[in-house]
Amino acid sequence: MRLRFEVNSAPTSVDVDPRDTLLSVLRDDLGLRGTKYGCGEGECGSCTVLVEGRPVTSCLTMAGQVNGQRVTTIEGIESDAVGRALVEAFAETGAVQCGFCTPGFVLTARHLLDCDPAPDRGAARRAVAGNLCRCTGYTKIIDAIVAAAECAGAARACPAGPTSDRSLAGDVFRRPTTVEEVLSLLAEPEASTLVCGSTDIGVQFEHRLKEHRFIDLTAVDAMNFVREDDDSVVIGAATPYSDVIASPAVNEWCQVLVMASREVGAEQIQNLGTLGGNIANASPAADGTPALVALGASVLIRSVAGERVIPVEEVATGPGETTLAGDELITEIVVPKRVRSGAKRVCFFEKHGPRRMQTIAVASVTCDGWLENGRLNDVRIALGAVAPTIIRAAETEAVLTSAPLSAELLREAGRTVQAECRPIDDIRGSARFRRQLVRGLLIRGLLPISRRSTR
Amino acid sequence: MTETIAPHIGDPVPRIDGIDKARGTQVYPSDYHVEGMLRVRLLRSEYAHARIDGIDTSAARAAEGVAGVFTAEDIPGTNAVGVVRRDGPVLVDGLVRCTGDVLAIVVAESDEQARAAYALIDVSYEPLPVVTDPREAMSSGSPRVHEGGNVLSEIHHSAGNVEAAFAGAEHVVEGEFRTGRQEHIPMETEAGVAFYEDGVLTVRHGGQYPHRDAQQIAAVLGVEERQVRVLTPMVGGSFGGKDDFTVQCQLALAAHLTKRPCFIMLDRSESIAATPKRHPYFNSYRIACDGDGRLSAATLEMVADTGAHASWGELVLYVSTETCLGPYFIPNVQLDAYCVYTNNCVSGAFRGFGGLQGAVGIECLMDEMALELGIDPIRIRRINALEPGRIGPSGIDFNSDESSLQQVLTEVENCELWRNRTELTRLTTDDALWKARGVGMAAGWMGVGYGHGVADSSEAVVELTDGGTYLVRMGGVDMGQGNATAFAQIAAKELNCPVDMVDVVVGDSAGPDSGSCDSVRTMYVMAASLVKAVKDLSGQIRAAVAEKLDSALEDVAISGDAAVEQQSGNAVPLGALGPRVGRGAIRIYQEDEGDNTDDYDKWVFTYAAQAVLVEVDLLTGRVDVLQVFSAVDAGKVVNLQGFEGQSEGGITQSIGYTLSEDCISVDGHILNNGLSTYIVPYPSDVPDLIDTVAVECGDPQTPYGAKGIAEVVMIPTPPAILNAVRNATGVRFTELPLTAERVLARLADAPPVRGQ
Ligand SMILES: Cc1cc2nc3c(=O)[nH]c(=O)nc-3n(C[C@H](O)[C@H](O)[C@H](O)COP(=O)(O)OP(=O)(O)OC[C@H]3O[C@@H](n4cnc5c(N)ncnc54)[C@H](O)[C@@H]3O)c2cc1C
Ligand code: FES
Ligand code: FES
Repeated sequence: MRLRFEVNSAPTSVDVDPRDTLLSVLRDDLGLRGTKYGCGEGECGSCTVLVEGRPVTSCLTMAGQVNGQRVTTIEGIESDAVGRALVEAFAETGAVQCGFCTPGFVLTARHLLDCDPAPDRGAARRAVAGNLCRCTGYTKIIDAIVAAAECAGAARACPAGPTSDRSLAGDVFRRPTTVEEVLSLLAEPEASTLVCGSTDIGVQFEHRLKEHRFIDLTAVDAMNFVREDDDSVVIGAATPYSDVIASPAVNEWCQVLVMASREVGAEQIQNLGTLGGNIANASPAADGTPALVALGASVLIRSVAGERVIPVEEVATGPGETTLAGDELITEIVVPKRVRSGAKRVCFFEKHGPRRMQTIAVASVTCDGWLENGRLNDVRIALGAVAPTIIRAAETEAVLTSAPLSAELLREAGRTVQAECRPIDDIRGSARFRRQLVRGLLIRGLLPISRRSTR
Repeated sequence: MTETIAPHIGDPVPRIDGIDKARGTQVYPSDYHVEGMLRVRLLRSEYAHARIDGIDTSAARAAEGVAGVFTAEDIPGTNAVGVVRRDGPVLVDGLVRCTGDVLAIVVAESDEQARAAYALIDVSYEPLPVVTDPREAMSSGSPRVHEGGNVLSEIHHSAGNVEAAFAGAEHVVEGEFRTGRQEHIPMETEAGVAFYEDGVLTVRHGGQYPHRDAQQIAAVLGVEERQVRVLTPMVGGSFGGKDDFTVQCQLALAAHLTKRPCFIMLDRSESIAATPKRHPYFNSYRIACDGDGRLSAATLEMVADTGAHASWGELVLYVSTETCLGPYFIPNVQLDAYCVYTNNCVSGAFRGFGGLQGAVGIECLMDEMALELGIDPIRIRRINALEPGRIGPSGIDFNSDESSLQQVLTEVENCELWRNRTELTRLTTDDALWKARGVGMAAGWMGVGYGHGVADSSEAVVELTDGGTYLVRMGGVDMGQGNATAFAQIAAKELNCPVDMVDVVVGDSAGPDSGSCDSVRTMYVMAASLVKAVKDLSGQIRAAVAEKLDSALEDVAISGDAAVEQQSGNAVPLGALGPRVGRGAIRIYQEDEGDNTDDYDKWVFTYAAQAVLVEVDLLTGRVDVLQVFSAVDAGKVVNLQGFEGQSEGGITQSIGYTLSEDCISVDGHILNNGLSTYIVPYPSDVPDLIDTVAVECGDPQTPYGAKGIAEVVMIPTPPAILNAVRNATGVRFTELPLTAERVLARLADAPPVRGQ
């Protein structure tokens, strides 16, 4: 199928299978070999390119998903002063050793300088949290980014502008632009798989993408939004985490969702991944979903036959298993505005993974509630990676609201939460470890609240 | 006087390849593209130990787009390769010894077709019992991995009277230490292309020693060596993992048998599951000292898991035994070390080459001993420091001129991190409820080059081109360490020209043989041969100019792009001299010619010491390294930027080795074969503050006195972290990696919500 998109400002047309990864199309079909393969699973950032100016992992993105859009690769980075400053700074400061990771770092840093023209070392380090370098130890990479910022201008990597037609119609890969089109495609007798950020699909179907027919949601603008209503905040199911994090309404009303979203993968994954995908993927280790559960959110599910609204925790029934029918689509997530006068809202998202960022939870504890006269009220707690699905910790909630916060109450809550979870052993951690973690994370999250309440 | 144009040795010089790499134009082995190239996939074993009754490839061969499916019987030459001994099959012939063993090569028009065909190969396995613990593999009842028995090599050393010394000792400490199976994770997985050009098979791949590759590939193909040319241009990382036979032989076979250009690049999962690892060790130590803290005796039993094939095993064990009792004087010693075959993934070369595994136990026990005696950990190391001229603890004749151990210890003693350790580890009352901090230190040492008695050599060529610029040709591959830059810098210095007047070509089996790019030989051996070559060339140039200008050789000096007669100032442009070639070679311990041809008569060691600050999350068990101070004897720093980069990168790899990196292996299958489960440090996992200080204790034999530091910088980190965690928590951990799970399992009894 013929795809048309801009690569480094040049209109490009290429005849490929739209399910080919963007990485392979860039390297093998367009000969742009500065984009590197390092893992094929979104983990290492070597394959980073900018789509509409934002870093994404091209090993997960299917080529059809950028139809009509603007892609910047390392070969186009020196088209402006900021890009040139970065390339030069990397070369001059010793940020390059074998150099295989370097294009990915340079592109990720390029976006950082769009968002923050004068990042400090911490900001630079966070921005590249999804990029792996095995040679340098990172110090000189951070030096380079900070140095480039000092001499860079203010040009943007990809100025906002009208995009061309992004839609694609075909047999095996369809890119509709309206919810109605999606629903009618889903109603076709031959099964299709929905794909949005492809950050789960791309990993699960690595090398097997062509065994599936896809309906891509990334061009459905009506599913990519955040809206504030009178009594709720509504988030389109296809809204990337980065936009969720940037939304003032989400920050005001759903702070714990912002905390959790910031810990989903790192920059590239946050630019691709969506809450709709997170919920439908039904991983017990998901991070967006427990935040939504703690917030008491529901999903709007539509099909040609009608629509239904169910609480987020009722979507998944087990790892990778959901109550969604083959023709159903999650279109939006409704987070009720929780209010309680005279009380202080308290929340936390505590996660343990083997790495600080770009890491899958071995256990997580999410909490949202109110603090009133030293006592927690209306607390909702969700646990990740310690049961076949994300679970509410109802008994722990009951313990925590039974008396004013104290060391003894924390200990009791710790014991209760351990008893309430149902973890398993796997290569990421034993059941015993997960039990210890869920207690530790709960206490770690509660300690500062408890301290505030007793002072 | 002629003006000095070249940068000084020691200045920071940006690497010559930095800009191309940063703008994405550097062509790596996986980027090289030949029109019409086929894709190669390797079928590996489903079992770690099995007899193969048959491989039916008929369906695969008939599949769409398939150009060939090859098994052992298709090999025209010898079916055995290996870096030290040729004990590994290119394609399994009857017996599988590990899951990484290759059964068949699939070659197809597209990668998808190759993958599809690969699934159609039908292998009849007869599974055999598997042995995965090297200690078990040593017992007589164990399944045999190789005919000759499972012990690949053993080293024993005894000195003095150990029993008596222990009986009379004031203090004895002991411990059993284990280290993990670390994977290199080079960012570029094993990759390359092979194609025929004018009757010569060219293999361009990510390797470390093109001459060895060419020799063994020729043997596998049953062709003359000159019919194979191996190029190992800029490689996307290696750290020792590509200093082995990974994909090059199968790739060469594919191209040879199909007579078409072929391409291979391993998936990350395959690279983790099948390529060589760092040897896991099981070490039992016991050390004794007198009332003043002077070591009197040590026993050590060391067992290394070399996996299914020898690879570098025996040399790795040898290097471990050199240094495993620390740079200390111990008069009574019993050391028993074994390198053992198992059905695990092969262990091979990895930056540090046996040095890391041996340092963990001794450096932890030195701290335990200091605690027992109530003395400072730096002091106990000082009073036991090995003086030049004494016999090293494992019997090596320590004839080094001087030891810089005391100097690196002084640097640590004076660094802020060490001096302020009380303040740095103090936490607020709130934080102390769930966190603990500790500072720890450790020392390390490592031989430079292959070591005592191991033959080594290097050749180098420097050309003056028609255009009046220079071209350095070396075997020494650049996997990212900056060899090419160092070579250019050395040539520029000796030829007194700017660095950009020197081009460098590395890694060509048709060029000079500089040996393998390992064991920090770059400065020690390779650079030495280069200096000789450059001196040869500069002599030729000056002689030619002296003749032209009718002056004396001593009066001619090279300055940039011309040679100048000092008195008259008359200059002859280098471009007018025509092409000339300078050659240099260096030889060490070449047995055939006797010791008198040695270029070096001393055995060079280098030292490092580090202090680290850690924070332990008592609620989750996570250990974070917050600061590192590293003092290392570089001999002489050649390029400050490269020096710091090697140190920061090495320490980061070592932090990963200490805290998270290990292949979880069950029955010889590596389960965590992706980057989400095999955990290497990412930007948020390493401290911003890695402070490296160079001690320059020059070795008079090497160029400018430089010593290789890329390996020794890694050695003190693991024990320094373990010692810091000991100081933070009171618990002595002895097993690497120190994962949160392992920490929490031991801390579980401690009350996490303390006080309140
Ligand atoms: C490197 C890396 C790191 C990651 N880190 C984290 C992490 O820290 N925390 C975390 O929670 N997750 C993480 N993930 C997983 C993933 O990013 C998230 O689950 C993400 O939210 C998935 O969204 P997506 O749009 O990419 O989903 P996709 O991969 O496009 O789809 C996932 C599933 O949802 C279905 N689906 C998608 N949208 C809809 C819809 N609107 N209606 C119905 N079904 C739909 C798809 O059919 C598919 O089955 C990581 C992934 C990678 C590759
Ligand atoms: S190749 Fe590693 S993130 Fe894409
Ligand atoms: S420079 Fe080699 S991986 Fe970063």
